[in-house]
Amino acid sequence: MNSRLKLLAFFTIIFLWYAVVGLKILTLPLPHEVGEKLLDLLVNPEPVLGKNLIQHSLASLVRVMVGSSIAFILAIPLGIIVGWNLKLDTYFSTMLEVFRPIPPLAWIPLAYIIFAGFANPVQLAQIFIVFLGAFFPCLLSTREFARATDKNLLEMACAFGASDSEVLRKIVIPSSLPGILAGIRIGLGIGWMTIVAAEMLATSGSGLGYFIMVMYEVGGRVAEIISGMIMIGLIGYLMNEVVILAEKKLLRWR
Amino acid sequence: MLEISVSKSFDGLKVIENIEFKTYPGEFVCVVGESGCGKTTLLRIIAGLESFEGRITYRGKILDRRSIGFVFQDDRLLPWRTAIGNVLFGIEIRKKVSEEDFKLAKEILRSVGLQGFENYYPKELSGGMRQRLGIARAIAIQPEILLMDEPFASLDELSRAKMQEELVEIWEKEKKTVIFVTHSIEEAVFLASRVIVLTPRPSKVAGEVEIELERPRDRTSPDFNLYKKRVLELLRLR
Ligand SMILES: Nc1ncnc2c1ncn2[C@@H]1O[C@H](COP(=O)(O)OP(=O)(O)OP(=O)(O)O)[C@@H](O)[C@H]1O
Ligand SMILES: [Mg+2]
Repeated sequence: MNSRLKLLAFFTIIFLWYAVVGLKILTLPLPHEVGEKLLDLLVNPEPVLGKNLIQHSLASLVRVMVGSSIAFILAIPLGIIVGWNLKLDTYFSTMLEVFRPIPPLAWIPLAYIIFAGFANPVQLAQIFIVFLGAFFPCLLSTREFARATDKNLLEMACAFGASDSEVLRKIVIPSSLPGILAGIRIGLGIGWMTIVAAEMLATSGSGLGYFIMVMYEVGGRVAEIISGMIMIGLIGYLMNEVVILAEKKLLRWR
Repeated sequence: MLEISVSKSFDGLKVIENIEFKTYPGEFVCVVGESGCGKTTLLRIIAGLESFEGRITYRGKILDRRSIGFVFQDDRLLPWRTAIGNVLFGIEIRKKVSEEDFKLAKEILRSVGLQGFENYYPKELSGGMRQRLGIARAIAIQPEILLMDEPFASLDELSRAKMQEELVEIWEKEKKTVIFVTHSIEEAVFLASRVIVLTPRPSKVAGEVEIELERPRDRTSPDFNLYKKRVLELLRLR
């Protein structure tokens, strides 16, 4: 039933697309034309940049994975610690609240300046932007769950003579796991949006965002642009599904 | 021998005036008293979860938290651990879990009637099974003193009676000192070797009743009812 509804939703989009173009509301290539272009671009390099869509996707994916992995490695332990300890929370939260309202993309110029001296400043800046995009949602989600750890369970552990570090390892961390996974899911999603946007703003030579931007600049090649957009959507969707799958597996107890 | 003599106030509210009693090794003590008289507070004090005035000694020394097993009124199981994982929790805190402990945990699960459910998560168990799992977790650490706070209060009458019988069986096997809090007089008379009756807040010991009935006890026998009456009188409900 569920998968049938999903299929129906998919075909509705295709249908609406045909309708919008057929009724001349928008002048766009038709779905099957884009589909053909997309399949072609997946294997054959696009002449302007000399790379196919798989290569562009991988370039973007690597940046997202590096940036968000660093973000998660820092955000998860920090989230657990500040969620657990109220004093540390006030201290760190105030510090972080100052940065949180700044959209990751607003960091781009400063990031270029910071990384100007390095071998690959554009790449580093992009990874840094992804890091910023993925860090805060993961931190907040982890912290919220760590803070919501059942007080009764904490007391139970105390009654059994658990030390602070045992309470942390055996109670606080497992009970934060749903928040950690949700944080990873949201963080990856935002990281993915951020990288595409960041790639559009700089000459990175590869990446889906860059591909779309160049296809626009060389003369509005709509089929290519939409193909790139479809790849972005598809990869974003798949990343989300993978984490949801991991959640189902790891959170069977819920 | 566990010797208790404690008082407790919560910012101005005197809850325990002075509760004073002793327990002997292997004794099953039930503490009864009306709601709000400080029974939970008393157990929490003994378990080291609450500050207090007075003293608690076990064999003449300060009572070590690690010789206590606590069964909570709400089961307080770890939802992310299976039944056997929950039983192992207390053991893990005391030492590295060995193959032996694993066998022991399985054995204990069997003794509380949870064989076959080792790999079930708490949410997949019924209320009575969860309560039994809570008991299994407490006895797995082989405590010298078992503290139980109305563990059967949320069960229906039938499973409650069954659990009481099972608890007596477990206790007869293990011969631990048990301090069992309840406000059911029948439960106290059924389980206890001795019933300690508390007064309303601020609580003191109103009196003690030694229950000299053969086990298994018959809840409908005249003697059983006589004991119930004596406890009731101490509670001054009548
Ligand atoms: N943390 C606390 N802060 C302030 N007052 C408290 C606290 N814990 C308990 N009390 C008070 O102490 C009194 C005794 O509470 P306790 O939970 O020990 O009663 P009880 O005998 O277990 O009652 P019941 O049979 O309903 O479980 C109550 O009046 C309660 O309001
Ligand atoms: Mg109580």
